[in-house]
Amino acid sequence: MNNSGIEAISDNARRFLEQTQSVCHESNNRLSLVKTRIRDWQKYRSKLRFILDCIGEQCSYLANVLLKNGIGKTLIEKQWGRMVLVDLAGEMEWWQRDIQKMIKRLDSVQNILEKQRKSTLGDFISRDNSHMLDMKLDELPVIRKQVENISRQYQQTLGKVQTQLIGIRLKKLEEEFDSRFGDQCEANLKLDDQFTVEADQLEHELADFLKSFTDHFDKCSMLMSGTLTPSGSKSLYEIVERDDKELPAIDTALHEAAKDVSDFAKEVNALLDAKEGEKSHMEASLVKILADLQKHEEYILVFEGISKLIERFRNSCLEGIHQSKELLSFYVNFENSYHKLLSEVERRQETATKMSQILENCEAQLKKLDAADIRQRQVFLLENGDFLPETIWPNEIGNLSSLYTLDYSVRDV
Amino acid sequence: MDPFIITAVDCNVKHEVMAMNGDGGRHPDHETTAMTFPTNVKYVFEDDEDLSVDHEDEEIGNVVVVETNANLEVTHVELISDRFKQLSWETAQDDNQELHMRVISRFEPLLEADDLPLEKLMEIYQKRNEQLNNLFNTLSTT
Amino acid sequence: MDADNTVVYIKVTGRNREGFVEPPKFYWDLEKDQKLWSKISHFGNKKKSIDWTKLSREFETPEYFLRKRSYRLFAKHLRILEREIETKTRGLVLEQDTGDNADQNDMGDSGSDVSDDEKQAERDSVAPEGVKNLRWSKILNQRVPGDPKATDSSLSELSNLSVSKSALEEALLERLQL
Repeated sequence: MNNSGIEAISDNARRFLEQTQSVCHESNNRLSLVKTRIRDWQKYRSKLRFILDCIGEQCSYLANVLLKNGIGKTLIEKQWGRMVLVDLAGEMEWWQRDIQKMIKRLDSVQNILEKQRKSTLGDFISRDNSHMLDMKLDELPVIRKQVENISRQYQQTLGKVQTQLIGIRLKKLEEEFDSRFGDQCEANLKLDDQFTVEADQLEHELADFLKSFTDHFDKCSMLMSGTLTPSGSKSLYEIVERDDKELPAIDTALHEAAKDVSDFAKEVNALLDAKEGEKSHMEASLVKILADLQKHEEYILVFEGISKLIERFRNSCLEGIHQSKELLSFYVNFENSYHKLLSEVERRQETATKMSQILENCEAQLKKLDAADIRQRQVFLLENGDFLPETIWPNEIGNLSSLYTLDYSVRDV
Repeated sequence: MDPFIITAVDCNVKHEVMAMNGDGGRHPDHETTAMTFPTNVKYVFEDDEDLSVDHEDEEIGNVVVVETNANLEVTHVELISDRFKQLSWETAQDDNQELHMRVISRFEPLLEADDLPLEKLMEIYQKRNEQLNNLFNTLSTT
Repeated sequence: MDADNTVVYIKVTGRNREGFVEPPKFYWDLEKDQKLWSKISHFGNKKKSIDWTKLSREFETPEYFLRKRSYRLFAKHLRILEREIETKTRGLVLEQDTGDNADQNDMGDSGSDVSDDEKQAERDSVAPEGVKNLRWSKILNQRVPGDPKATDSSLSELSNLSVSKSALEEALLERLQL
């Protein structure tokens, strides 16, 4: 064992170590890039799966919640079909019948207070608004037709969503995902399992090479430092000398491993390139289905618009019913008041009779008093007239006219 | 060094629907059930041994990786999850170590929506379409 | 995303652990958050300071979390209050600007958000007018002296006055509270 021998071995060890470090560094970079690409691909697939699940749920929301429940059941069946076309129509017919019945009744009541011409109570009411509900009822067939149209449109839309959107498009998208991006797709199985394991193995292999060269270099450094006992140095030198001979072979193996890494990276990158090339078709399909979902917003806005129109019609019908109720109550009050008016007329006639009787009685009593007065005047004048001058009671001494005048009338009602 | 505080707000419309039907109590930071607190936080420093991810807990379905610089300023946040996807993140203006994440959970059937009027149902549909488009737009950057 | 289903890894680059002790895993949710808010938002009523150690035991949660969370909740609460004051002040200014027309505008509003009760009230006030127009005889429409209906118009004027008066009072009171 001589120093120059140790030095030569040590130099050799350093040279190989430096080469190995550089080879390992390069290969590790390759592996780490490949691993990052695999991870990114997995993340992409995970997000794609997530979006697909969300699209699936959105399609089902569109079909079941918005269309079937919100429009089909609540709007068409309940609000329009039942509430407007049946309940409201029934109510309007009922009030219209009632009001017509009332008008007929008023037409049949003769106004006995008007003597010159024959009239009925019906002549005294306005009929302009008595057919207000009839007009609304006349509009109902139009509304019914609209509802039928929109129901047909609803069925078509629902059918399209169920068959085309969910049955074909979404299904195709799922199939495309499963065959190209799913976990069970052959390429992805390779990337997720085989290639990932292989990358780890290659990494370990490279680490082992690096460790061998580093260990050998460390042993050389230890020998060079001269800190070992002679016997220790001797046995270590023997090991180092033996290992030194194996360095070229190990180096060849390292370069083979590096080539494996390079080949592996090429294979993985080629596969990933191919897989990533499939993204564009999938993304285009996604764009289409998202646009389709958005297009349905417009369709549903049409339903919403019609819903508002029918709501407005319903409100105007309710207003009509309300006014008809008021009108009917007015007619009922009118008839009642007419009958009360007849009693009022009777009461006034009775009062007039009473007044006539009082006045007739009064006239009779006045006449009686007047006759007695005249008689007494005549007796007085007979006994005293010759002795009294005319001027003693001017104008009155010989006046025999009545003390009163009476002129009255009681109106005929 | 203070430990981090992380909050995550789920932008899924389901929370709004729940709020429409329920009674949102007065609280300064949340009126719906959208806010969550991932409080199981582990730290990895430069001098730590290799990170050993223990798989003892089967329930763990979401992993958040927060990267910071030496000043503990957050530089990158990544959410790995099948149920949630990350929309954005930010730290509080007055506290670097308070991280707020906006995430979205997978759409699910909205049982509470049955009794809502058409306008509200439509609002939900539009909002979800918008969210789908936003999610799709982040796909290419994934 | 909570302590049970989510794990967060904080990767600190360029810094050693330097004795940093990881806080224990604990559970926090909205229910606890609300409870914490109801506790800390009422502290001022009776106590001078918050006993964090006690709170930490009670919530089974580290102190640092409770402190930071409380600070955040107070900060957000303050921001909400600020916004409310701002909205109210702006509302008052607007009210003054529109002035007397406000009542009329309210009456004429037939927007979709008018409640059913309001619609009913509207109908009640409109419908008799409609019926009046239907009457044929003017005599039937004539008001008899002493009929309470005859004072309708002057009464409604009075009530209009009192409505605007109370609105004014309300606005003033609100301003005083501010």
